Amino acid sequence: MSHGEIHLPEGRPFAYPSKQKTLHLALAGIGLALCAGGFASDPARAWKTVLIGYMFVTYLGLGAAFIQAIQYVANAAWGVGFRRVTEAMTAILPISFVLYLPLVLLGKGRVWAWMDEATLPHPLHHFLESKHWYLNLKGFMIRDLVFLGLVIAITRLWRRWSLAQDRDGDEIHTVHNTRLAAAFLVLWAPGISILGFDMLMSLDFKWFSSMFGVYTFVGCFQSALAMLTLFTLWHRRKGGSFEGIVGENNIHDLGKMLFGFTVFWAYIGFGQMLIIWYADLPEETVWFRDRWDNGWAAVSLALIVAHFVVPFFYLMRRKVKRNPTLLGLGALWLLGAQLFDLYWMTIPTLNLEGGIGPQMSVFDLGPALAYFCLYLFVVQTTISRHKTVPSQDPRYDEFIHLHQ
Amino acid sequence: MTEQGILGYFDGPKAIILAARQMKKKNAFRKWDAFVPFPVHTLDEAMGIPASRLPWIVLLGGLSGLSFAIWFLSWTSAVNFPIWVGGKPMLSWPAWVPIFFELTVLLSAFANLGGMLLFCGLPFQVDKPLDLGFTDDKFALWIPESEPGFDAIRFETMLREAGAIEIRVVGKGDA
Repeated sequence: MSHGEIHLPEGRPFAYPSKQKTLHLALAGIGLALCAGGFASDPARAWKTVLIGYMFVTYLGLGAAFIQAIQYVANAAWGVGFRRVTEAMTAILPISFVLYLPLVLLGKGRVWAWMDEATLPHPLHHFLESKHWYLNLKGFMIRDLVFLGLVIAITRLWRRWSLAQDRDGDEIHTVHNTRLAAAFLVLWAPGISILGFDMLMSLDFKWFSSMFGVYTFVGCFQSALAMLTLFTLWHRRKGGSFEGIVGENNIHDLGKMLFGFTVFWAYIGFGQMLIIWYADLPEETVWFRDRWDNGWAAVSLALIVAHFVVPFFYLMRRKVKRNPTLLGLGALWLLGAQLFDLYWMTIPTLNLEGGIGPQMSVFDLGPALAYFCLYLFVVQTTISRHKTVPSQDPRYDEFIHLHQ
Repeated sequence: MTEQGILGYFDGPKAIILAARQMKKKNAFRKWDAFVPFPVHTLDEAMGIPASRLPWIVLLGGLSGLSFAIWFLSWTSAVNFPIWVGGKPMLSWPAWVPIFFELTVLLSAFANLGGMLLFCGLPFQVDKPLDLGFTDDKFALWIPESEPGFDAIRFETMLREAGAIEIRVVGKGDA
């Protein structure tokens, strides 16, 4: 069959509806106002919630890059049609790169206690001495910014070659992107772990767990999958760009991935707990102590229910994964669970000597809401710029005729 | 025992899917089957074959694996031969979770394999009319005599109308 004979459906062009744009920006404004309220009422707590919001959205961008990499490397056809969404989802990363500087340079010891040694209670100094070679501001910033910078460079190249293929239909772009994806994965494995160690584990610098990098990776990947699912479902609604292109089998596949990584989250989270519980060393169990005493036990158990029990039984059914409304609700739930998970990792570190109860205030959600709505704005704007579907991809035909 | 019935040959996976869809509309087949050289996706859907009951058997297998593991580990560690290990309580279930998980998976897999063999009548049921071409390049729908309301002439026309390129009636002594 020559190319001329095949007529595959093209995605409708997408124009970011102005009503939605206003809504996203207004919500981002409300988030900023809440964030300001947080800083006015309790600045120490507000800095931690800024980190939560920053990591939540940055992980949505990073996870999208990883999804794209595995699709390229596995030569997968099932996700080709919504590749423009993952491409757009990574467009937040340059903003995250820039926002990293004020977060670290202004937040410093108020976010990561070890950065401000002078204010640390004396008994804690001892823990820091042997870790100086790793935990120092220069090394911290170089590691994270190099990782973020390399991911940005790679995602931009992917995007450029993918768009070039739209124009000339040359298969060589797919070959280049696949090779780049293989290199990306080598960078990714240590990079995402180190980012997790630096940004989240070092909040409690006395503690360490080699599983923690994988734990943060699961949250990153699954929340990005959930976000991709929500964008894809929204764009395949009646009259949307993906109508008649992204079929029931494709969203079923997304649902299966969400389901699978619900189990993986439980596996990694439990694995981390199990070895620490078994060895029973005070310097390791302290992290779970901080999340068990002072009323945290109920929160920790609620996290297991919210991040594993509920989505596991909910997403198990085939019908749920093939129904856009039900799958969308599941994906939304998992996004909430990821936010909850970040809260659970971050807030107990407000006082490293324990004694912080699990209070919630409406201001806590401010930074996450603001950055998330900015993220929606950036992604939708990016999708609206180019063709919504990479229809010149050599696997596009297979994508359109996807079977179970 | 040799089954009797009609075989309708079709010209490839697309043709057999379209034919199955068309024939399903005219008659609610219950006993029919398809012979294809490789898995043809969505053919089961086109033939209107209901979802398998196998998942329930697998669930049963998984649950029995899980409850066996819980019972066995509790009994050995706390009742039959209690040993104090690492200052942990006798019933320290977190350490057993990997075993709970593995036994659940193992018995699920056994139930899956066993249930599949049972439902397919394997490995004993080998009396279907077999054309060697079904392992190579032939695609056919099979309507056995046990099909409710079996009428050779009616079903033959139906197969022809659905685009069958060849019809074979399998009688006693054939195949």
